[in-house]
Amino acid sequence: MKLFVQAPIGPQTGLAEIDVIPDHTIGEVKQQVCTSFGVDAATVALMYGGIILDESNTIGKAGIPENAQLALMPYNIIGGNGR
Amino acid sequence: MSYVAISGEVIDRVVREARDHPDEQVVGVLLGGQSGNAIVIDDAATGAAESNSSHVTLTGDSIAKIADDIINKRIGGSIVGWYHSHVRGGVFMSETDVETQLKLQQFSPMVTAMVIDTQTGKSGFFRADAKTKGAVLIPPQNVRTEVVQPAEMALPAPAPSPVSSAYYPQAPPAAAPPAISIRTILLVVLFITLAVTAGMVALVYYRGSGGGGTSCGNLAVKHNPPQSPFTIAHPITFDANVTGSNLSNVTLAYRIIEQDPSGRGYMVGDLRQFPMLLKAAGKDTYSFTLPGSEVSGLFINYYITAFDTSGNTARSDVYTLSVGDFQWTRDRTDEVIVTRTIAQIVSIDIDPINSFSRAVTIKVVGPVPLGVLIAPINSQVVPPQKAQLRITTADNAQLFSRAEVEIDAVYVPPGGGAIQIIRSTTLILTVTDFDMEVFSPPVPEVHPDKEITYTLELKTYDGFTAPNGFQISVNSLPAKATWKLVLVDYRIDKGQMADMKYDLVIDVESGTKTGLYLFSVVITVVRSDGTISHDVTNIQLKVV
Repeated sequence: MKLFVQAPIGPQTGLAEIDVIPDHTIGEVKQQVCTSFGVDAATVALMYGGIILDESNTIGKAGIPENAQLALMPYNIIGGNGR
Repeated sequence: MSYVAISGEVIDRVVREARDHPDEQVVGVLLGGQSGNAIVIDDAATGAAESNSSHVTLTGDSIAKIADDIINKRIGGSIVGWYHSHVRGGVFMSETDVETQLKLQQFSPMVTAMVIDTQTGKSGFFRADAKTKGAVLIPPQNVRTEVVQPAEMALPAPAPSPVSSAYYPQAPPAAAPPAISIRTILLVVLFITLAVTAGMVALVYYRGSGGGGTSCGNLAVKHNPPQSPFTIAHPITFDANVTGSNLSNVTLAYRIIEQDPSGRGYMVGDLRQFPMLLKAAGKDTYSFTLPGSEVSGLFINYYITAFDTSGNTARSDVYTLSVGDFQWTRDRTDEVIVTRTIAQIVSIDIDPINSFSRAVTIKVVGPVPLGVLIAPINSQVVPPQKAQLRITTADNAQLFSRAEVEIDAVYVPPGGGAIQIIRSTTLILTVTDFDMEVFSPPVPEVHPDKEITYTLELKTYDGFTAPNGFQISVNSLPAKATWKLVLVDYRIDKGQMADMKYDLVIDVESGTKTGLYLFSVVITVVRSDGTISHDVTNIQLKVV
């Protein structure tokens, strides 16, 4: 099945098209996408439908349909005025 | 140096948000696009955040909702920056801020941080230097603010309308940009995005297929990936059929993708490139063997490139090989409590990764408390077969609370020389028991028809359990004597050790024959996994 992953950060956002099988885990897909985008996988999460996807879950169990568009985004954005 | 053009309405909004929260920081993302070498910010968004006066976190859930809104076009543009306020300290980038900025700059070096001083309402724009881990201020003269007219803001149609060229500053000495509206620029950005997207759809992700390859002129690479399964520390040979005239060299480029030690993510290794050599036995076949010492991680991404002397290149598809590995089950928090003299068997899960199916050797590295023996029941297991450890303890084994004992699973590839793949876990081991003492009175003498009191102290150590209680017996007393225990004191300390103090009262009835008696006290604990018994013998009792 085909999925799209978008990283809507930066003025020219990247989009990757991925062939997966329902047994692929979210973590595996994230790893592949991070490699393509050149992003440290430890800092980002895959998101879909406004929620963070559980990396141990499979595409099938997460209920992600064919041609779904996922987002690759940071886990969080943290600001502070000290350490 | 690049430039920032920000809508005055956005500045007003985020500064007002900051000043409305004088005691806590606010955070959000900046939305917009790009014009030339300028970031154009024309909107901002935020969501649920965890905040106090010194830190603020825009949660993953909030980011997920914003991402969903962007993807589904409920909000325009993309994330070109982020903003947050400082309740105190003014406009600067803290170490935390720089870390966040670098995290976002992975996606684009143009992403910009905006910091607002809650007290003064002043703001500054920053980026971060990945090498120095320092903040880089975008000079105020490179930041332009445009007051967008409310009527213009309200226009729904993307009809271009000219605005001041000052809105989209360009790097000197470049010529001033054509007068265009923010919507026009966003349309251009959208067009660029779609164009880049189309390119990336074709290029960013490659799924290997048999015999895949590309050609340029008469230069061609045909490659079939090596046959799985692949196993950590086992060499992998890559062959490719390369044809073309004036061939100069053929290279294999690969990178290793390993699991992060935290288990939460992955570490992507550097791209490494090696020349492939022409096989004497196979015409046009080039080969490279990745040595076992290099085969690690969960995945290997690679591709093969051929070069000719005219500068032409041909490249294979990019392939991903899954490498078999193993690991102890993560996040184990169970603690093993063994009671002296009672043997126990502990099972620890070993997870195979990517269909790893080789035998690993289980080794107890230690340190192990004195008098404790930990030995694997099977010295070798094939994950997901569990590692089973038999723990035996002597009756005088060292009592120990939460000893950390290293257990290794070791894989030695056949013919791998000195290569050993070692995965370690820690067994948290507590050795426990109970103890008792009997203290005689200063003069252990008693007349018939009188009582004499001894002191019995019972102590249980950390982790000890007696689900069926303690069975206490007093043996070898005079025939006409009875006994009872009276609880005097009971204490439990921080280490969960319990101290119980009893009076052991012995009633010697009249008619008891005088003389010296030696009696004993035995305490027994019967549990499902065994019986533990301690005694004190030869306690003197003189009937006078």
